Amino acid sequence: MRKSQAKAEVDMSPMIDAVFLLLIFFLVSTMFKKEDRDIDVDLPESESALEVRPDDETLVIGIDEGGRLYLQGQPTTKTKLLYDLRVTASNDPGRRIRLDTDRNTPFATVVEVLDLLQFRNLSNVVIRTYDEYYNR
Amino acid sequence: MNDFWQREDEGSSAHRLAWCVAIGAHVVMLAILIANPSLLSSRLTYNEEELREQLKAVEERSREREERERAEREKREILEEHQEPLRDEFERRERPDMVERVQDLERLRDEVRELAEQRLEATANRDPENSDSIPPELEVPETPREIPLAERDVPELYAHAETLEAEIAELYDAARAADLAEAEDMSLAEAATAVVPSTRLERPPLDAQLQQASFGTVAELSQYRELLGQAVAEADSMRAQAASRRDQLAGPGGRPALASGASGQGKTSSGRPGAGVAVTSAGPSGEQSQGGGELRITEALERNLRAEAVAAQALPGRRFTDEAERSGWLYIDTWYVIGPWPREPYRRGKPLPPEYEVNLDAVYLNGKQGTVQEARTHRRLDLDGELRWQFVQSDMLFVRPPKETRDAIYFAYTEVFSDRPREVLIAFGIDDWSEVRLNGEVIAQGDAGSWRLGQELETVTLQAGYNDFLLRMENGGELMDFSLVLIPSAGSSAN
Repeated sequence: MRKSQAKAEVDMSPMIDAVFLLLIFFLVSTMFKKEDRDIDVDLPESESALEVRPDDETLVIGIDEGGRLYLQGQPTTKTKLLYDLRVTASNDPGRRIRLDTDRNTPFATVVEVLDLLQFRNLSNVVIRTYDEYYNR
Repeated sequence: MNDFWQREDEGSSAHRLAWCVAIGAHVVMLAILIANPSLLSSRLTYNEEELREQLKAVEERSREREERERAEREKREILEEHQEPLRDEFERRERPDMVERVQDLERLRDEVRELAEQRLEATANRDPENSDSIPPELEVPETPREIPLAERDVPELYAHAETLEAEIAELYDAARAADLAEAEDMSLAEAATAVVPSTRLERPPLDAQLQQASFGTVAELSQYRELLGQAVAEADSMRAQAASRRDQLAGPGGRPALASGASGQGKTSSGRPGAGVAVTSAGPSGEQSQGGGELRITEALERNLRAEAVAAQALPGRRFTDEAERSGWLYIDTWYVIGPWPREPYRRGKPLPPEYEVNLDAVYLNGKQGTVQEARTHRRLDLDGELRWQFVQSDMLFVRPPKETRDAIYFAYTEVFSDRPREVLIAFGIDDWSEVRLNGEVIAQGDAGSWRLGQELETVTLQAGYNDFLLRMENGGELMDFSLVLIPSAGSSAN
């Protein structure tokens, strides 16, 4: 009489499930850790904007509808912005600067900030706009 | 029939034409009807069935409206029933953010308090033989924290944040009074009455609005959430303002130091941190404006300076680097200007706040008041005494202050960059009485009947990095212009 030769096998499915769950957990938690640098503005529309590759190192300056200033999503003052841009110009003159403005932001304030960036020799400046082409 | 088409007698061609037109018109009408059968049906099938359908549609609309109203009623009932849990839920989401900001404000308050007390103590003990006492109006009591922050709701946290902001402003003013006492060599009690109160931003009464909010409709619910968000945003703004004040008191090592000058008699400011001359910072090399070269300023250059030639040749710019291509006279086109202050009682250099500290976010309340006529436009100007710094750019040599009026004092502030220490010749054109400071030190002071470039010529050394210019201008007449031009190198076009 022959003994049964059936081999004991490990079921891999639960392990694969667990690995995928871990993977998703780390992906989601990493995404949540990103700093929110955007402010709530109604962007001006553009029909000829160029898409710029996102960069986590971009310094975001925001100007809302009332002309209030923000740096990296946090409210700031004019005096402090002058100083912070002086430091940025000294440490990293090539750093990309993104200007987020509302479509109703007073243009004089935008000019003031652009002039300040030029004076600080920060020339890698982009202006964020809404382009229907990239949102189809 | 053939006869009709073949007849050649008089009038037959007109008949044929009429027949053709008639047949053509019928064909066109038939084609239109075939293409749009609805034209025919709309006239012909207006019958009982259509009427019934129309009535049915009206009934449906009416039923929909009733359902909508019922749903609104139910929603309102649900909202009223769950008002408290919803309020708690929304607050629970916003409270951590609010607590964080209030904690930061408390920390900043402690830092500002420490800095202010250090300054007051140093000023009180400046003369070891005759020490001054700190007057009660400069002693700011600490706001007690009776309930832990985590146990407070958002309106209470907002009210606490407002109290902290007021306390920080009072401490900041006390520190400025100490500065004033030292710069003007006056007692602390005198300085406490002389110091101009700093900016107090008006905050919306969100604590009261949040407490009174009710949830009758979804719109009100959304409004409540917006108020909560607004409270956090206002607390953000308070934190930024407090941090700015802390930085200004902390000194050049830790603050955004701008020009911080001395009194009108040409003294330099006190030696304590934060009250000194502007920072020296090695800025990046730029290529925007004035070219470099060794300076060989001769007496002849100064003598031959002709305003017309400079006005015609000067170019705008604020950066001096060796690599730049532009050369010749350079005029400063970008300024922050504040004013008007009344000429009396501040005439002839009696100190005003910008001379102690250039804070571009400050609001001063002791400006000129009343209704005046603007010099150039002859428009009516209602001056309420509130003054703020304004960004001014000029496309020509002359710069004009906003709200230009007679018997007024204005200040203008700007920065100039130089990539290395560099000697420059500076020409001013300011009317009438003026005082010019470079990096906090008075470099020129004088009186002129009217604007004339070259009324003041000074050779000064720009430090490497950023250099601050602060102009004080006292004007008696209605019209006022000011100009500042620089030339750094020999062989300039102004020769």
